[in-house]
Amino acid sequence: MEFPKESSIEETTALEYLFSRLSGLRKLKRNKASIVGLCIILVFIVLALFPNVIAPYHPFTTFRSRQSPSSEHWFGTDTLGRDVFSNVIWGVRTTFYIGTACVLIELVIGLLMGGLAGYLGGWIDDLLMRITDIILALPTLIVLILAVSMFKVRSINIIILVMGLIGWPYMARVIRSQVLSIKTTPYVEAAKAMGATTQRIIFRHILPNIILPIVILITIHFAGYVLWEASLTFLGLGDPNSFSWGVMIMAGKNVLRSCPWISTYPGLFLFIMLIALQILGDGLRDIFDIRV
Amino acid sequence: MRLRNYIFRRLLMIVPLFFFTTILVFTLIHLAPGDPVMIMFGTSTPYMKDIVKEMRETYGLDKPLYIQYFIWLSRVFRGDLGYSYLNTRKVIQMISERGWPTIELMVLALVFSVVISTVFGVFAAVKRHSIFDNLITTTAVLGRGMPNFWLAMNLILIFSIYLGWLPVFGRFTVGAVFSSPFGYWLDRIKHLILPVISLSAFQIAYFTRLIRSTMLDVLGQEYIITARAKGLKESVVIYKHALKNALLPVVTVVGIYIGSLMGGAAIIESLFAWPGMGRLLVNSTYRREYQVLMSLNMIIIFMVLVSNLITDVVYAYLDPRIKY
Amino acid sequence: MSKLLEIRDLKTYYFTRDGVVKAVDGVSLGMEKGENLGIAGESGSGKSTLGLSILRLVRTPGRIVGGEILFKGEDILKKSYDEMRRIRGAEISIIFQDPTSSLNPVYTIGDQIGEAITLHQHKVGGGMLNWLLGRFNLSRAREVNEKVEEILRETGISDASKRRGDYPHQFSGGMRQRAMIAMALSCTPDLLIADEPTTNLDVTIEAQILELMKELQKEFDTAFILISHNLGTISELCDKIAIMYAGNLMELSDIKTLFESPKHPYTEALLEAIPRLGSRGKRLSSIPGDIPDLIDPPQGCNFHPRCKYMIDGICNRYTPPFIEVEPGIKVSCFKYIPKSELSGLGL
Repeated sequence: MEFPKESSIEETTALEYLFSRLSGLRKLKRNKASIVGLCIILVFIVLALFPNVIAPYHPFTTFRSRQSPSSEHWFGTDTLGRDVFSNVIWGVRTTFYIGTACVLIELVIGLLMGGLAGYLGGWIDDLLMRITDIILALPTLIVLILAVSMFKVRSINIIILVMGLIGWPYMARVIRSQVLSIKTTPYVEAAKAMGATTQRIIFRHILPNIILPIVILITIHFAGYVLWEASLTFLGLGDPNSFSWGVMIMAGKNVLRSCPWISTYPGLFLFIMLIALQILGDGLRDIFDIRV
Repeated sequence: MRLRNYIFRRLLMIVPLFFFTTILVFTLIHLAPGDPVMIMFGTSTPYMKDIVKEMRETYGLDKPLYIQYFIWLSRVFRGDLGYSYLNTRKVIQMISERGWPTIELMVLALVFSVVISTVFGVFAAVKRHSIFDNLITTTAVLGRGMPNFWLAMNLILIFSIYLGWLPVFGRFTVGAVFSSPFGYWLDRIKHLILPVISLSAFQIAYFTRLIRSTMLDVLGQEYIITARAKGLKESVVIYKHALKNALLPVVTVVGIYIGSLMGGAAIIESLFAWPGMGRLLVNSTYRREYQVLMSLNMIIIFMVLVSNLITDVVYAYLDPRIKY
Repeated sequence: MSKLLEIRDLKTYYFTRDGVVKAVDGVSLGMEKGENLGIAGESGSGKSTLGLSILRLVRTPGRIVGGEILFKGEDILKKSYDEMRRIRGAEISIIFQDPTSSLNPVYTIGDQIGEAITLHQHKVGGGMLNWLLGRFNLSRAREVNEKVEEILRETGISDASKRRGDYPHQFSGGMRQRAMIAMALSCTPDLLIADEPTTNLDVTIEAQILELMKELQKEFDTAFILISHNLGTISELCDKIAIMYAGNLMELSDIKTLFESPKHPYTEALLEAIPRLGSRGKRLSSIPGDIPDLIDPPQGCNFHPRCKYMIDGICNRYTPPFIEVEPGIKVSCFKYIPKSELSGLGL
């Protein structure tokens, strides 16, 4: 089947655009790594949805504390006696919650800001770009530390909100440049000349073309947010009641010498998830031939 | 001559940025619920009300925000960074004690990561598709996903706890006496190894991949064939002709990474009990030490702006095509 | 031997993921001292690969897989890496089509030309250490700089002492090509290979460059191999011309005879395709068909699918040998092989 590489004056649907960007199925074969990444993420998604299938115990059940890994407790037990393996599995859900929530926030704000800046241009564009410049120039972790520490309460939702509010400029920048480049293509100009309404242009032309770069960016940012949350928690600024891997790692910090398994295994899972997301993002970028 | 003007212009731009960001940070910090007095006293009982009020007045915390800012600003220009509420020590003293260790860590991490990633990146690019290339690229991918605190903990586990080769905490062994300066420096180096590696791991992974990719781009250029056609040795072609071009885009990225180095420093310093500014920052946020926080922030912002400037200047200097 | 360069049955293949591309598939030609050779052909004919092969600059996935290249009587293909390096730049030089991308943007023109001079004449390696030290060795540096300025002036770049410190992006297109020529001739090589040197330039600049090359040839006593798709350009400079098609040589002849009585059908078609003054109203003729796939070339003569003289059963089954049909003129075509000799060639 032949799909046109570049749409003429016809409208592009998202699917058509997707296929036109597939630079050969050969690339899929070469990117075995990204397939692996995808599989790992899918496994994690399943774990997030049905943790009790794999986890042998409920995370709050306590046993004898500080047991080293054994056949009953694959990852051992922590200082309070909870099974580390079950905790880690249940932690997948929290990780997804954090990542998804932050990404949603940055998408909403980023689309709005970036889209407006790119599409309308002029002083709105200048203003928004100044703001993003300033936020992007600051060292993000330091800003996060300051922002989170402002609040008396340590709540996971507040952390998510703060991270999303600090992270949106990265998304807005990319969206803006994509919108700008599409705005000036001949087929959008032709559509305008034929009297297409702004709404039509946005939904039929611009949106389908920015989906792919956004998806790739989301993958990368998801990993970033998860890592940031873990870092913040590690510094003591996290929500100790949330079930994130960061909390588990921090809990094991002080007993590293005697019970290394408490920190090591949650960290391992964190590591695997981050790598899987990276590989997936790289693979997607390679397959669809996008420069982000 | 033009370079000097460029630097001057950039320095001027720093001033408004500086004011803007310090105002922003000041506002943010003071918007946080609770203030140092509250922390000092815990929950204030009705009996303490008067004392609390008096303390607040002493510290000027009852005045409106913008006045507080100007007071702070005027003091800063006189070189007085204030006193820490908790320690009653001069902030400037606290920071200057901790400044050098952090700089030590960051500079070493930066240099280490640039050197290592250049070596590996160039090697991977030149020996493309070989087993070395695959090994290096895979390691780089793994490194990018590694949380630095987890890496640090594992390194501690392996090298300090199981093998006992390297120490964990601090910059030097407390209370140790060395018979020679060599012994002293060796001890310092041993304390530096793990923190520097943990801090730079992510950088190395990222830069290696970047340098490999820029080298591959450059090696496909026609001027490389010209250089070979002149009869130059392959090593000259790679290190003189290719590398300079390949490193140009990396300079810009290094500037951005200094920011992430600072965040990383906060984490690593906390973990290794490294007496630096990062740890001070983290601790001050718990205790709401406004003076310390403002000063630290000022310094950090200043460092960021200056490092951006340096990066841009270095790039403009290295690339003859840039007009300034 | 009076022959400056002799290529015997050269084969250069590219080993790609899609298959083996036979870019140069058995090419034989020769050049006398004082003679200029032109290599003409369409893009994809393998002429650039041929040029690169002479200096052994072909990189993976390409490789020279067979044949001999005799330069001044010695087989270059058997030389060691270091011996080859001594030849490059000093005895054989090459210049490329796009001077913008052929010059390193981060070093000055003076640096890049001086590098070659320092390497070949002062026998000092071009490594970074030597480069740095060289900046301190003032007497040698001065010598090299003088030579650089001299050669820049000879190639028509005025204000040479200032231009020496300029970067490639500060030169115009024509000046850049002059600088490339200067760099190539700085060590007075015996042979200069020019791969489409004027293709990217305006016609007026092109004329200037060709003039310059003629002058320099007289002064430096360098022989040229001019690779181009433009027969007109070649005829300006060269005495002999070789026509390449899809990796094989079709015809080797002197310029006059080629234009007056081309032998090979491909040459004929090429000459017909050039629009001529006074031929208004006539349809432009082109050669029907496409160049063949070099991974899977057609059986027999590479040109036969497009040839109007094709003989079925012979041209599409056997490869014609490259033989001399008149003194100094070689063709690879069955038209010139009398039927009687066909059996002698094993057919």
